Amino acid sequence: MNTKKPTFLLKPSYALAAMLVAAPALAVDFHGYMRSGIGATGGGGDQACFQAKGAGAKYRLGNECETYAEVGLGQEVWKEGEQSFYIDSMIAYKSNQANDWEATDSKNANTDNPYENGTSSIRQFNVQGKNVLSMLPGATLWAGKRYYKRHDVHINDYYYWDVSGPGAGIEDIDVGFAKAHVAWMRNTDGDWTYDGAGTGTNVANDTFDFRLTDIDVNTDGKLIVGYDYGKANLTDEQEKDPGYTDNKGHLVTMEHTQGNWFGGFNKLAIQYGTDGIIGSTGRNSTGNSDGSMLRLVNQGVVGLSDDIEMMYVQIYEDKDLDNKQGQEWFSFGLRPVYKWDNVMSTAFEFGYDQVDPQADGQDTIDLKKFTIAQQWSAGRSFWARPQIRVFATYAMWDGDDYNAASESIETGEDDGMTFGVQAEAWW
Amino acid sequence: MTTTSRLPLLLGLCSTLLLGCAGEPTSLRHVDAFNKAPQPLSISSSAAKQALAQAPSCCPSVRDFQFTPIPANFSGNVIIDRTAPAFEFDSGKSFFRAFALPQTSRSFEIRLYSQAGDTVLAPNAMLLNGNLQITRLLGKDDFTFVPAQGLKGDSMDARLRVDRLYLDNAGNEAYLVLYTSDEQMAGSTTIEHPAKAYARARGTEPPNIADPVAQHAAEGIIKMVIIEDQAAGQLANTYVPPRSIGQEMGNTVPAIPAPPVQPETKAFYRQAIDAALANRDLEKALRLADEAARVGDESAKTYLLEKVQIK
Repeated sequence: MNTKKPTFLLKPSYALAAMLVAAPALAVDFHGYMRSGIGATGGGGDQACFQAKGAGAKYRLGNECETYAEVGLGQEVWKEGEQSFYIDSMIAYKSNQANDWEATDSKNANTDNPYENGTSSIRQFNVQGKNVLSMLPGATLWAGKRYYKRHDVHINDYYYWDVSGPGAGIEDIDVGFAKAHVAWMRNTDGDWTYDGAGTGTNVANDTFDFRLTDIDVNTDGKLIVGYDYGKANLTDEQEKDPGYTDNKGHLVTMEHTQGNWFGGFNKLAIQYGTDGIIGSTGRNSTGNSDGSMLRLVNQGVVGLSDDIEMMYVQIYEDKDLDNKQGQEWFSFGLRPVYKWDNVMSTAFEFGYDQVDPQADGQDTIDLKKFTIAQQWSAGRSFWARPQIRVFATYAMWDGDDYNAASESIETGEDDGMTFGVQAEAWW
Repeated sequence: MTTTSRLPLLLGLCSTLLLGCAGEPTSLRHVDAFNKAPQPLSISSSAAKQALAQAPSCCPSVRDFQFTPIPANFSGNVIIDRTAPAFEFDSGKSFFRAFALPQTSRSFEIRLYSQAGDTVLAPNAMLLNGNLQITRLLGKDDFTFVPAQGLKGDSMDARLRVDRLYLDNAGNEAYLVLYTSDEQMAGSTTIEHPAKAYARARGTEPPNIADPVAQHAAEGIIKMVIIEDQAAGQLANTYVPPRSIGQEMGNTVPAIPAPPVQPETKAFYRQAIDAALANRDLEKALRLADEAARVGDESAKTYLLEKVQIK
């Protein structure tokens, strides 16, 4: 055997031709997300997407009808010893995925005009100063618009703890047994929240967010404990208006993360919220009725074998409102992925949602969704992206109660089938 | 079984497809996230270690390595496994791949990405000048783990610039050897869990779980990309001070050898020397011998001395 002659495998690399981005200067972190594609509904028409009425989320594989993208650029602009400043930014874009030209003209956003249905949003612009507070070594002082420690479930795109927005805070304060984080965040209700004879002005809401993370509880297990206090911040004019009540609320969250769990991990979150904060994610809302909410979210990704990974989720949410407009939402989803090789995989997704309205005499509704997708991705992991998937989706519901389809399917129908091709990437 | 180099074949294929092996447009090569990385080799690190122990040393010295020439637009995967030659380096025995770098290009950057999975080859890189003298040794401190992003995989990366401001500078680095060392193989690298990479990209809270660890192994795959300075993007010529290669100590500067002299040229100078001697013009004969030496015919001087017998 001749060992002197080297063997090579030359694989031409390829680039994302769709992303025409000039080479950024060195040390700029370019990050982002995108999903886009094309689909159709069996029987004709644009791709319909299926969601149970009142459910907080829908299972997303082969069930996303829009183009959504985020483009972020960040850079550490200054560093001296352990002290540093980082600037982060992110702009998001969304459109109905109906035309080449989908202008982001906010005046016409979300209209039916297929050429002007785009929207864009400045979602992040913040500065993070690490180690700049001499009395809190290791901590980061930050201010600006920010995705703040959002907790989500990937397969149904459900954010159950998300107070992101304009804000300021200090994170990663070392308190020995845990890391502490404090933040002041803002969200605002539009003037539509109050339609009485009053002022018709926007209401600013504050959320004060306190978290303890990285608490060791068991082998490979960590605990997060969080408390959010949200309240309306009324102006003098709003204070005098009897139509505005100073709504406020409390949200307590406990989340346990188990690593080394069947080749993956499991996250169990328990949340209890009251009154103004019974939105969905921890923000205050003045339009809310008083009441209480209990929510459990259990999710994980496990490796069933070398070739099969699966994500699962169970959600139970009980909104018990004084005005009887609450509901119980139960959700269960699975997405096993079988990997044929390092690039190609087959994914199956089953999602079940059930919503039981609190008001007497209203029917409980449900939705079952099945999707099969052949996927090609840059790598083998469940999380490997970019990915291109060819999918077929079938959904069933009771057409007498509601129409689960976003379009293309007539009211009264009990089921629907869609198919298409979608790309998804994050980097 | 003979292992033949597939490089010329693949290069040929690339050129027939009019793609060039560079694949991606040069400007996009600068963005790691757009550079498709190969899958890490799936090997057992103990089997690799055993294969290395059994592999015979290919060559008596680095001088005897077979250096594969690579073009200035090179982008490809270097597989360092048991089919690669092995050599007993000062830092330990290792499989290696050796390359002859482009000589007449603009200055360029070499990017190395050693792909990490369950195992990773923690690379060492050796650069040598045209005289096969070591100019740089890169190792543990130079290759650092960079998490996956976009099409880029988890990998141990290094970037190095090779200067070509003066093409006739005999000290220019001409050869690159990729290998690993005992020190590197003793370690391991922690890889960012893909669920955390997702969280980082999406701005969500990463799950608080342990990261997987890649054992350093004797075999691995390194993606190598060469990025030549572009005409428009090249930095204005900066002054590179001459670097001593130890001439003072008697080291010779590796001269670029002159092409061999044509027999016609040789014959011409000998005829002219004969003619000058016939005319008793010794000075002209000496000048002709010098001139012949300058075009590479050192033997003209001997020829002249043989003709001029000291009486």
